[in-house]
Amino acid sequence: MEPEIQIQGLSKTFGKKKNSGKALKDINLTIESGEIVALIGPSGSGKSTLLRHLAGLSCGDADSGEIRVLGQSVQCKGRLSRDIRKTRARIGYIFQQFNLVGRMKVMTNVLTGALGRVPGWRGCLGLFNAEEKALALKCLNRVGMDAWANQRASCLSGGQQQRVAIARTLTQKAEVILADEPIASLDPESARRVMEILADINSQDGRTVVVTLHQVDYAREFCRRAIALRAGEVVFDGPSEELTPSLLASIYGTTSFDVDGEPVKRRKTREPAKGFALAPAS
Amino acid sequence: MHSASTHSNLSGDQDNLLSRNWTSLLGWGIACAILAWSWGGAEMNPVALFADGNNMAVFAADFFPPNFHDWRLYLSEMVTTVQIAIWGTVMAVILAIPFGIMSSENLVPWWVCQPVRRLMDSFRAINEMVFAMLFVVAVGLGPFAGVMALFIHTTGVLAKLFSEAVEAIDPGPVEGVRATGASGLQEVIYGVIPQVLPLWISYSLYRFESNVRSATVVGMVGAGGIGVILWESMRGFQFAQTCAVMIIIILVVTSLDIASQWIRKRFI
Repeated sequence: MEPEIQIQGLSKTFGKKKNSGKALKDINLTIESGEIVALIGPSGSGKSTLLRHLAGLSCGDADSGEIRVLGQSVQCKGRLSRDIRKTRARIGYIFQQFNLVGRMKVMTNVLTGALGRVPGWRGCLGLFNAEEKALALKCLNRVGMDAWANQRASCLSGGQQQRVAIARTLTQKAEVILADEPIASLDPESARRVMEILADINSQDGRTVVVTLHQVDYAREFCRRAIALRAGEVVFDGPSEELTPSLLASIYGTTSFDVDGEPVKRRKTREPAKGFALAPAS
Repeated sequence: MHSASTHSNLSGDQDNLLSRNWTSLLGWGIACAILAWSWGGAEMNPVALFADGNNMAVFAADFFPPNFHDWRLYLSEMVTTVQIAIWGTVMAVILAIPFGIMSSENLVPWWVCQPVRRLMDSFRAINEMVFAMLFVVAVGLGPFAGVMALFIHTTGVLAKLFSEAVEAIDPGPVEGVRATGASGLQEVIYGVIPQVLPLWISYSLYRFESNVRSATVVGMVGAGGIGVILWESMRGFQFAQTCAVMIIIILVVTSLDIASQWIRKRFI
């Protein structure tokens, strides 16, 4: 059987400089159905970029290979597949900044998860039927947000918004869930709650979950497998308990780790592949 | 080594400051030159306002007291004027939504965006009065010509304003909707429009206000509304009537401005 996620020879270059702008270098990975995988690595190592390519939100270089998810081609040689929307409907995506529509009700935000399934005209007019609404409420209930269904999404705290975003992917009936730094903008308590929900979706529903994290302790606690990226290359792929402090130090670079093996607080930058490519001046 | 680089940085900054002084001086020079150049072309003559002060006083005296004898007619024509503005604006809003989206760089490829933008530029470049004269010929005298004139011009204005709002949106929520497998149109409906709606409503109300003002003059070329009466009373030197009409226009325009301001506040 084909693996659930299959990446062959994916490269991505930002900007014109062929070497310094290289965010992903010839990535080859497979992820099997039902796995929960942590993608770790320092800031700018390419983990968010990789995840975006899996959902077809970004396109690789023209000399890239193919990405297949759920047996469907997502992109091949830097071009999105023609029926990408159908594949996207089966992939749930959770963003660091939640990406809910702030002025819409929580309920409407969750119902957008059904857009990939309902007939186009009905989706455009917002005519969701009772069954879809019941499902949306059930999903909100599962993440503990059903009491907020009629509030505007912008009224909620970060942790609440992220739970609503998870309810959106549940309504989507997504078979694979890709979570891009889902807890990076949350306080510790909300972060734990969100990770528990994601782990529960993996263990109860058997959904494949890929989550990028920069807290290594969360990766060890919630994910059996970890994949570490550094400078756009896979430098570790194995059971997360094998992530020893010395290994982490080599992944993150010695300076960015304190004695407990915890990464020093990262700064999120939009610029990919910065610090490592430019050699220090002196 | 280190101190040397600091030094060169400092002198670099000074160079920067000096050159900035020169460019700003040059900017002011150009601005003054343009003003002087336009003064000649526009035959600016403020002295005329005072030299013939007596004539002005006599002229102004003709306006008072205002003659409200035909106020029923004025009022009904003013209502027509507002009706012209309502339909001109509503039709423009409906058309400006697709055109506005099609001229937003962040949503459509350049080969859609650029032609639509140029078309909207041409809608906007021609004043309502010019369109009114054209439509009087095309659809005949009367308010409908006025509606069409306002409609075309306002579509051009609103499409530009709408697309500026769309280009300033947060792309995150749009991506959130895209990731669910939604279609392009659904991305716009769920991801874009909720974000821009308050601004769109506000712009549309602004344009309604200014369309009421414009509708008071399209009548001068025969396109209906109170402009017809205004023009005829002025041509007949009936300045007391002109004054009455102007007072009615001021009252109606002001009260609509207040009302639309009130509505706008509800939405933001």
